[in-house]
Amino acid sequence: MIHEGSTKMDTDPVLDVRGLTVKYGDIVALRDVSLAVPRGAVTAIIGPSGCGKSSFLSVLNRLTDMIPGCEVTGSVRLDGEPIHAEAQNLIALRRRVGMIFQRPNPFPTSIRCNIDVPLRESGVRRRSERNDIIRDVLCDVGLWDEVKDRLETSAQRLSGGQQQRLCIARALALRPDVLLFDEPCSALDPISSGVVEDLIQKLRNRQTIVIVTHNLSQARRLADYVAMFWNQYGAGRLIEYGAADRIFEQPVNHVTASYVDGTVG
Amino acid sequence: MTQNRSLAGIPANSSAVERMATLVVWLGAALVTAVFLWIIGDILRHGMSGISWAFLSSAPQRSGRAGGILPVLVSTFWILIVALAVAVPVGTLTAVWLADFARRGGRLAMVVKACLDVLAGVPSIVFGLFGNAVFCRYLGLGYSLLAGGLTLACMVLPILIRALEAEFRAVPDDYRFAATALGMSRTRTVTAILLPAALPGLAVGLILGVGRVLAETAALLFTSGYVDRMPRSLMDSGRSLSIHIYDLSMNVPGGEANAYATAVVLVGLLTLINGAVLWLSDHVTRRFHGAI
Ligand SMILES: Nc1ncnc2c1ncn2[C@@H]1O[C@H](COP(=O)(O)OP(=O)(O)OP(=O)(O)O)[C@@H](O)[C@H]1O
Ligand SMILES: [Mg+2]
Repeated sequence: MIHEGSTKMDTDPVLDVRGLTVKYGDIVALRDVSLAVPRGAVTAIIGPSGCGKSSFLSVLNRLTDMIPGCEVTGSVRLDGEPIHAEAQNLIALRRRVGMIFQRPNPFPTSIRCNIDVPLRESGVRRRSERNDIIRDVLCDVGLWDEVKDRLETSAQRLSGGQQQRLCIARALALRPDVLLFDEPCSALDPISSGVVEDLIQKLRNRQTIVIVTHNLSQARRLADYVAMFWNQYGAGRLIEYGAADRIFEQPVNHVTASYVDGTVG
Repeated sequence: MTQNRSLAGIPANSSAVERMATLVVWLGAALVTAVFLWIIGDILRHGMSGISWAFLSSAPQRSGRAGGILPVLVSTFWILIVALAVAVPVGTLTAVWLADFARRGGRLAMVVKACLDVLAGVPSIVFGLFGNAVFCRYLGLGYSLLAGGLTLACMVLPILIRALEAEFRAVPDDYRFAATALGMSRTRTVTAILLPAALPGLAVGLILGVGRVLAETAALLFTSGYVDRMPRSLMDSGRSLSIHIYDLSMNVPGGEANAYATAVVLVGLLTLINGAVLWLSDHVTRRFHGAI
């Protein structure tokens, strides 16, 4: 595996993954992946279907704990603290590491409740304070003007793109340190997809972002760093990782080279 | 094979087949509706004349040939309350556990489910014998509304649980993942998202349960008894509407008129409760889902 010698990547990673292996029973989704996610940057994960990209993301907020038979080994540190430690508070971890899914998944409740319920659960007791946060995050995702008059209406009446932005707002409301996006645009039409992508551009300076995408031009537009995953010997591996320009312009690994050229994958 | 066939291989006269099928389906629906209306019509025709405020508000006389059904109504009410007060919380918790907390495919969950499926098919009279042995004798409750209600709770639990569990499972996993990723605890996910989302199913399960409780006679004969006096507490024996109907029509010569009138009350009560449950569930569901 080739590592970039960049100082930013090595000195102060938010997430430091070492020797990560993920198994679902006999299926090895990821083998021996080591990767440091730089703080405040956008890291894109690219690679063909089934090479373990989603599995990698779900390890980072330990959503893998919800999947029976899923076995995770190796070490993951968030700000230096091992997230698989016995004492790790899962709920706190998931508030610090937010996740946006491929398919928008708002709760079947009103727009307000979608943000209000997790926010109240996270300990914001005062209603007025919650309402302020709801307005702020809806403004952040550019949804406020569209929905301010119908906060009490069903979130499932929103368009796909609006739903995805609501899900992002909902995650932002918890003030996470890291946001994980798992192909956030792939279930959306091109226009909504563009809106969501612009939104991620807007967030890039506030938040550490890890995004899985199948869309290489999107990765070029968004990413500071790119991690290339590939299936080798029946398991997902990280085959190249480095600054986005370098990966796209001068890939070292020939598989990466053909993949970013669009000749394989 | 001289028939004209369309490209897809469907006979050209498919519209005739289509029409036949439509007719058959409609006939089936019409038949069911007709039987239902017939039964209701029969009950109303024979029983409506017996309904009056006096009938609802006075005690039976001469073994029920004359007088009203007030104590019977009161006993029925208490049996229903006891049965639901036990079955609904226990049923909901068990269903949540089966659908959400038990390890998927875990041994214990499998055993629980198998037991429930067997229990759901056990005839009510067996529940009556069980209730008599356990609640009336072993726990010393005697023939009482409490024993009757508890027995019925046991009887409806299997059906209630499987109906609720199916409803919980039907709630998309997306919500579970979303809630977990937002740092919501499992309990909170269930109470704030899954339960409300499954509420319409809970309502249907509840209606099924109420229906079975109100319809039950066999299990109650052994447990709550058939004394037709006004119960003074849950420890008193009391007679349910269905037992009253049974007794009047089978054991009391000249009781048919009041049996029919009681049947009208029973059907009316069922309709009323079902309507109320549906209205309530609809109301709460709307609030949960947000305005359209
Ligand atoms: N819950 C699961 N149970 C069993 N196997 C799983 C599960 N989730 C993923 N896998 C397997 O793990 C491997 C990696 O899956 P993963 O979803 O992480 O890939 P991916 O790179 O995200 O693919 P895609 O681009 O299609 O989303 C696949 O072989 C998949 O079949
Ligand atoms: Mg994936």
